[in-house]
Amino acid sequence: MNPTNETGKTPIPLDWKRLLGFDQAAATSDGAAAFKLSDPRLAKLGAKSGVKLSGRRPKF
Amino acid sequence: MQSRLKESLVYVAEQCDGRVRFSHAGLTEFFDRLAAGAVSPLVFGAYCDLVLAIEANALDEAETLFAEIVAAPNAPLGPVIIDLAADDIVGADRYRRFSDTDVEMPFTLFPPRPQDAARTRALIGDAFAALDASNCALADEIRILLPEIVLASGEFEGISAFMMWGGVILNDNAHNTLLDMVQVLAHESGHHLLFGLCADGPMHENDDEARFSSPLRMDPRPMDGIVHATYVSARMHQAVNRMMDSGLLDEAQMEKGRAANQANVKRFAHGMEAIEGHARLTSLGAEIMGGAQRYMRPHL
Repeated sequence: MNPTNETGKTPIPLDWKRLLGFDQAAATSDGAAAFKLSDPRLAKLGAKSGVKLSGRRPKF
Repeated sequence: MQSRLKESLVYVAEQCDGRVRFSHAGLTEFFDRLAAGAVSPLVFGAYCDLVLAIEANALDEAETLFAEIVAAPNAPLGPVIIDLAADDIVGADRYRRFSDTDVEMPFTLFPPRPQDAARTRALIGDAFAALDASNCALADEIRILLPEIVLASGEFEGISAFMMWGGVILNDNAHNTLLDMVQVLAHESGHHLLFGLCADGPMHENDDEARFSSPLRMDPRPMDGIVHATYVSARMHQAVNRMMDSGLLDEAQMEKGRAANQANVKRFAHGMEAIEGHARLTSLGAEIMGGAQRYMRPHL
C-alpha cells in the first residue's frame, strides 16, 4: 500500500538515518503512520523533565 | 548539533525539492548564520516539526516551517530570559508540545506569575554572578549551552529536550535560593551538553521502551533518562562543591551546600547502580560516564 494524504500526493521519503535526532529513534519511518513526539520510539527526542518536589519526586 | 542540523536540512531540502516551496538562496544564507553562531532552540524544534510534517504528508505545513527556519536569525549570547506566553504563538506552542512528551506523566505549562517571574529573573542573575566569581568556566559554558530560558508555572522544576536544543524551561517558584538556582542551571545545561555530545550517536543501546529505577524520580524511567539523571547529579555536585570552595558562601549556605551534595552523592550512586546493572553503554556513553565516575569517586 502506498499511503497518501487527503490531497492524494505520494509522501516524500525520508531516510531517518540521515536526520539529526531521528537517527536515534528506535523505529524508522515506514511511511504508514505519522509519528507523534510522545511516541516511545522517539524517547531520546522526548523531554527530560524534573517533576516538582511538592508533587511526585520525593527521592533523596 | 548545528553542523548536524545543517547536514539534515540539506538532505531534507533535496528530498523536498519540487514538492515543497522554499527559498534556496534563503536556506544558504541561513546555513551561513548557522555556521557563524547560535540559533534559537525554536529552530531545532521547527526542524523536528518539519520532519514530522513531511512524514504526515502535510506539505503546506512543511512549507511554513521551511520559511520559519530560513528566516531565523542568530541568537544573542545567552541566556535570554522570557516568560512563556499565554497565547498560542509559535514559540509558546512549541515549548508546550516538546515538553509534554511523556504519556505516563502528562503535565501542562502555564505562563509564570509576574511576581514569581521577577524573583526568578533576579535569582538567575545572582546565580550567574556567583558562578562568574567561583566557577567562570561553568558560567561561560552555561551561557553557550543555554541561549534561552523560558519561565513557566506548573508541576515541574525544569525541562529540557533534545529537539529544543539550547532552551530550558524553569519553574517560576521551584527554585528559591542561590544554591537551588546554581544547581538547576548546572543540571539543565548538563542535559544540553549530553544532547550535543549525542548529535552523532547515543550513549547507550538499551530498548527505549524498557524502564529502570531512577535516581531523580519515583517513577521508573528509560535508560536514557537514567544516564542523564546520573550525569547531571555529578555536575550539580561539582557546581556546589566549587561554590563551597570559593569562600563566597556564608555558614548557612555552606550547610545547605553540604546537604545538597549529600543528596547528589546518593542520586549518583543510585543511578550508577542502575547503569552498571542494566545499561549497554556505547563507547561514547562509557567515556562520558567514566569521566563522571572519576570526578565522583572521592566523594562517594
